[in-house]
Amino acid sequence: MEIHEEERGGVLVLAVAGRLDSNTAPAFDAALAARLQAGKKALLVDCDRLEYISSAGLRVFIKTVKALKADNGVLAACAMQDHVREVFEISGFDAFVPIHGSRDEGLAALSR
Amino acid sequence: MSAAGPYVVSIRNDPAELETLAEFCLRCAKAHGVGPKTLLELNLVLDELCTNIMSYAYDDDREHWIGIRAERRGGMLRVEISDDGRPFDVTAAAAGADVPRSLEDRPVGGLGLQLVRRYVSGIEYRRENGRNITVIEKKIEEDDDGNS
Repeated sequence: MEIHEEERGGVLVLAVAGRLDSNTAPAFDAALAARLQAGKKALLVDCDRLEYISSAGLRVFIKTVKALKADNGVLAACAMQDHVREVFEISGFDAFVPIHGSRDEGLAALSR
Repeated sequence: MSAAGPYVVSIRNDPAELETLAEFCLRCAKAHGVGPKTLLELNLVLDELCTNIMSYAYDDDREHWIGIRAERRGGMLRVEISDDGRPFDVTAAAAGADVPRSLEDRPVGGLGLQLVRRYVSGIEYRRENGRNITVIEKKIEEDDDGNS
């Protein structure tokens, strides 16, 4: 699992690549927690190169959404591969995490 | 039809072993003509079951081994997972894992079993010689993404 980050007009984009499972989720969790700690309020997780996600990865999303919500922040995801999107949908997580088709769409939605 | 396999692997109760599990799933998929979508689903099911075992089955901090054995029977892949943790009937737990309504109502552990239930054709459990034996059956889609 790798994370590449870039700031785009007030939105922090985190591009996550590889696998998010109970082995790698703690590192993802720590990375997100550090960005929240630094005061980031708008996060876009770009899932274009995310190949796999398990419930351990989903839990990091929910934890981050909760923390952001308490602080008037917002998190969205974009560019999910079909399988990853399906796991989000089966779990009902698409109700808590807006999923945008592309990074540009995600940025447009978060910049509003 | 001749049944290929079985394929077997043992992993320690350490999340780092999920890499070994992923490689095992890939090897099985290749050997049994499993398509890419079924491979991902199979990996997810075994990941969730093994992660549950690693997280909740043991009362000590010692090393334990989880055994996994996969074989093809007709159009089905049958995978047996065995562990020496405390008795845990996954079929009873999985049956109660519905989609929760809110962020707050989400039980820890239930999420993974919900995914397991969605992606298997069948699941069985028995306790045998002090071990939990969980068996999942998964229908094999051989060309499921149209690009195998």
